[in-house]
Amino acid sequence: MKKKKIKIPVSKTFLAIAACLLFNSVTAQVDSAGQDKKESAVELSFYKKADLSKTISALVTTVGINDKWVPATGVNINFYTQTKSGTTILKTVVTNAGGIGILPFPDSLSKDAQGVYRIIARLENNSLYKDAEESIEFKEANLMLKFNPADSAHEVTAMVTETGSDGKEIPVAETEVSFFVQRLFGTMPANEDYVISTDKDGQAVFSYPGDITGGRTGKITIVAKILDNKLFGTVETKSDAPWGIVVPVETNPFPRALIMPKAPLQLIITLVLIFGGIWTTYFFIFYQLKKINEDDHVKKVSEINY
Amino acid sequence: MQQDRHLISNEVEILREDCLRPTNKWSGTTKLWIGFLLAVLGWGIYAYIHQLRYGLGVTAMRNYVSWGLYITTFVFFIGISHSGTLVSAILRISKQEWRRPITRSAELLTWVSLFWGGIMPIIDLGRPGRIFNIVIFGRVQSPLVWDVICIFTYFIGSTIFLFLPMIPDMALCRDRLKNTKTRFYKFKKWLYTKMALGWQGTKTQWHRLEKSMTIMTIIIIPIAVSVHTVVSYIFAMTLRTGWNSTVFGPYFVAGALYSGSAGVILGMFVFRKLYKLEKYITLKHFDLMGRIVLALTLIYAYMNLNEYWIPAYKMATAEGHLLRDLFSGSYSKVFWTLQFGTVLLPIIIMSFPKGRRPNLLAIVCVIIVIGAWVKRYIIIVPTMLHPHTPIQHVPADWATYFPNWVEWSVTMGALAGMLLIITLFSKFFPMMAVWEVEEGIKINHEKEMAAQIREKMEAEINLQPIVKPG
Amino acid sequence: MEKEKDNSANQPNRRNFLKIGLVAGGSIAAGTLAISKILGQDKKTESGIKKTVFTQDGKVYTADQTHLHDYDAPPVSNKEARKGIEGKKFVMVFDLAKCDGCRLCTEACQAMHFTEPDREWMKVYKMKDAKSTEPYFFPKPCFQCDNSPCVKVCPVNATFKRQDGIVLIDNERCIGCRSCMAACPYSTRYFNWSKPIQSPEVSKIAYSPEQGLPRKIGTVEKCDFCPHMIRAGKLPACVSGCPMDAIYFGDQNEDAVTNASGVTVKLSKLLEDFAGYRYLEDLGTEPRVYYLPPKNRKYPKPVMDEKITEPGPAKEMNEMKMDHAHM
Repeated sequence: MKKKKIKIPVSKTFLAIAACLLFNSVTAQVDSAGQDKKESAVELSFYKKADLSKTISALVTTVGINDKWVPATGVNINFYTQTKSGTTILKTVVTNAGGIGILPFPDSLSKDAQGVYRIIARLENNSLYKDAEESIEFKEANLMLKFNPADSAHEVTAMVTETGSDGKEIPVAETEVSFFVQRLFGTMPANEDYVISTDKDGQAVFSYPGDITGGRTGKITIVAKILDNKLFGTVETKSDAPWGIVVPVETNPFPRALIMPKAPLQLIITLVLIFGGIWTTYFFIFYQLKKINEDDHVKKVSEINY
Repeated sequence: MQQDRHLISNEVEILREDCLRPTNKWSGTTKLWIGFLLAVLGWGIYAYIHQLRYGLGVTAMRNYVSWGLYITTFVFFIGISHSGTLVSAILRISKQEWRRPITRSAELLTWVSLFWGGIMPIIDLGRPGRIFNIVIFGRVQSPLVWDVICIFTYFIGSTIFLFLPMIPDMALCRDRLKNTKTRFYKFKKWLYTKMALGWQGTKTQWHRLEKSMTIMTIIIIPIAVSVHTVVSYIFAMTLRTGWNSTVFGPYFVAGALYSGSAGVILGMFVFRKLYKLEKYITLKHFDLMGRIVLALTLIYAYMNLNEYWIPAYKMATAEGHLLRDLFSGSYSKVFWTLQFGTVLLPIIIMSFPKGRRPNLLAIVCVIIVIGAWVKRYIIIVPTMLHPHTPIQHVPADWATYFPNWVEWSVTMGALAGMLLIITLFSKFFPMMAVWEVEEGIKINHEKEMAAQIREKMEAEINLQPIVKPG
Repeated sequence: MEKEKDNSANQPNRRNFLKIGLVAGGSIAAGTLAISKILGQDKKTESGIKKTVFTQDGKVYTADQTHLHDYDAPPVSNKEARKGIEGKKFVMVFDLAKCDGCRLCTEACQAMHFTEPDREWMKVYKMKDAKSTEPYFFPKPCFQCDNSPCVKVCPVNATFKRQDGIVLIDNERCIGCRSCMAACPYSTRYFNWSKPIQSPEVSKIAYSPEQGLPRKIGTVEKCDFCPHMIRAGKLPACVSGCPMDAIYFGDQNEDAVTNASGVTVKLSKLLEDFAGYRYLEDLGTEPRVYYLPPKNRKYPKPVMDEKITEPGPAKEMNEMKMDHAHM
């Protein structure tokens, strides 16, 4: 159950590229414009989600400007399955803007006697990019969460099993399970030591810390994952647990303040008093003017004043 | 006694003639002047329409200097509007007799500069069509809303303050108006009648008028102070270098009084010359107003000192950039010219009696008024060019500012509008408060008569030899 | 944290792979990668409707509408936009040790909001605090301050603070007085001085303060933490557009922030372990954006004598700035 893994260190990447180059040198194709095709590479992974949907995704990258690797978008990737009888094409998928081509797991995919699936992804017959290929072998694992109803220490047990050919669940030992809590934009590791290896019964026990906030209801979604396992790819499962600290609802999110739509009362009262006083005075004077106007029928005074 | 009364009534007649003559004659020069002002105002309106069509992008303002010439002019005009308050209200309340000939022009200057000062921020708005949002959605936590409330209140107040003493003069004009044949004169008759409010000079009317004027005199002073204080708050309530200062309120009010009183002197000078009012606006008036401007300039110089020396001593990071630019950088020439030329120099000149003679004083006041306007620019623009975060990676025209033709045109149009209203006013209404000056003449005569009687009585009683003042 | 290989979507090791090819300080071919950062990795079929998008160097790029986020989803009402998302308090963290000044966050933001190239809602500065300290790159969005000076001075409540901490602008109420621009000490706001350049599709969007489109002349705009993306459960454009994973975004109530790779960390621990601070703290504006100092930085420091646009004569400006802060 091996999968060719391209490691992060740069030297190994260049080795891989060199290998590709060597492989492709024989079949080097020149497109109609007379330019060499660009180097490309494919990386495969298997992902089983909490809702039990499964996908195989191929990340296609190519050499861009200044010899940097960038995702290759809009590229046709051919997925094949390899069985005893040979290689059969499954589907052709176009890579999206991130350079990823996603193949939904076909239900009828055949596996061999040990329950291993073998998938090959090929970038071929592309006018812009050189051919590239990657293969992956994996098995399907089941991951489940178990709670102890009498427990008060926020403990959860993750069980990793395989489905045997007879339909029975076989526990898988020494598989690393990572424990997370679901946050708004991603899953956060629950603790410093959040990766637990399963014991011989295929069980990994983890205690969630008590300082995780859980919104208004105090409910958190705990997520357990097997990450990038050589055999199983990535497997995930989720469950809700009432272990979060309740964040109380803000009773008054917009109190009276300088920064809020409604002003503090002291400010309003001060302004009303000052300008109320001034405008009352104005209206008094308007009244005086009105009275001056009405006084004109009083008899004239014979002094020299206007 | 009869002789004296005859003298008084003669004087009063001459006074009335002198005051009303300008309103009856429209000389060729006047028409030319009005035509010129209309042209400048028209050009300003055209520039504003251009701005309305294409947006504020037609000005030189950009994202760093987002307040430029328009706000400078706004602050300047509101500053000038303190003229009337000072001369009219403060001198009235302290019963200074010599204020009588100059109150009208001072009050007019206030009213006109408030009117145009209130228009300038509207010109500066990006969406002037939404101006009534201030009324509908207004937040009283905002300094701009305080501006609107205070300026509007002061505007109404200064309208009342201008109008009240005009009432008896309107009655005078109404009664003196002959020759009502032409349409123009019919209009004038209607105008004077309406504005006189049926004034007949009765005791109750005088009583009401005097009571109203006393009240207005008292409350207009705090209103005026509050106006320029809240205008300073649109700057001082921010965290910008140069604006984040506690002394902005008094600083701006001192600047307003200083530039406003200089404006009053200019008004005095111009109307005295144009309408030959030398008999009433005498050298003594210039001397006294000059002393007042001197005192106010000293106070303003003191405020300036505080405003710049305190941060300069500390040279805190952000303020340091700004001050270096003002003291020795790209704004240094303007800054030091302002401090020495428009603050120190006037102080020196006005300290001497010769410096308070009309011609020289008028020149000094022109320097002060223009200097006040440039000072407002220096308060606003360099601060905006020295934000806390550096100016990097922006189009070149964001990193500097100098007003372009649109801003100059609109500003000159506003100035022309101001002068136009003043000119038109002076052609319709007397530029001195006639009844107040009459009252002054009578009081003077009464004082003289009282002094003569006292002398006679003392001579008759023969208690002491009459010592004539040498 | 180095062991972290959590990926929230189907891209194991994608970011790691890309980092191999990325050399610090260089910017990748504009357009493609930047756009790809904010385009969805969803399986939608393309609609064939193209939308215009600007890149930072003024290039115009068209992307299929389906790949851009849901501007076509009905916008929230004005009342809802003013209230904000209940129970959340959004916060952003910048790891200055990881920022290499590539400005891809700026490009992603400009692509997301169809912004004209000279307006950088997310601005990457080269900062030098003192003569003797070393320069560093400093990306600055709007800080969405809790004690924001801009909201205080708005006369018509056109800019407002929501209960989720975000400060937005309602361009149907803004009167263009620019008091907020004068009040903001971080020069974060931009004004539409002239008629905004926008494509016909953008002009037809129904207006909501949450998306700020279509733009209106004579009004103000600024970084808004992409509330329409948050409602769709996605990170803001700048966060997901950062190839260095230098930007984290999350809910302070959850005490968790997430970066572009989906790495989610505890906020309080991040700030404690890396000595997080806020910019110009003593102005008292209470920003919602934290910075982790550039200790053990992964990329070279900025070159400070590069030509930058300066006000006034170049010599004076350089001298002045070099003496003290903020070069």
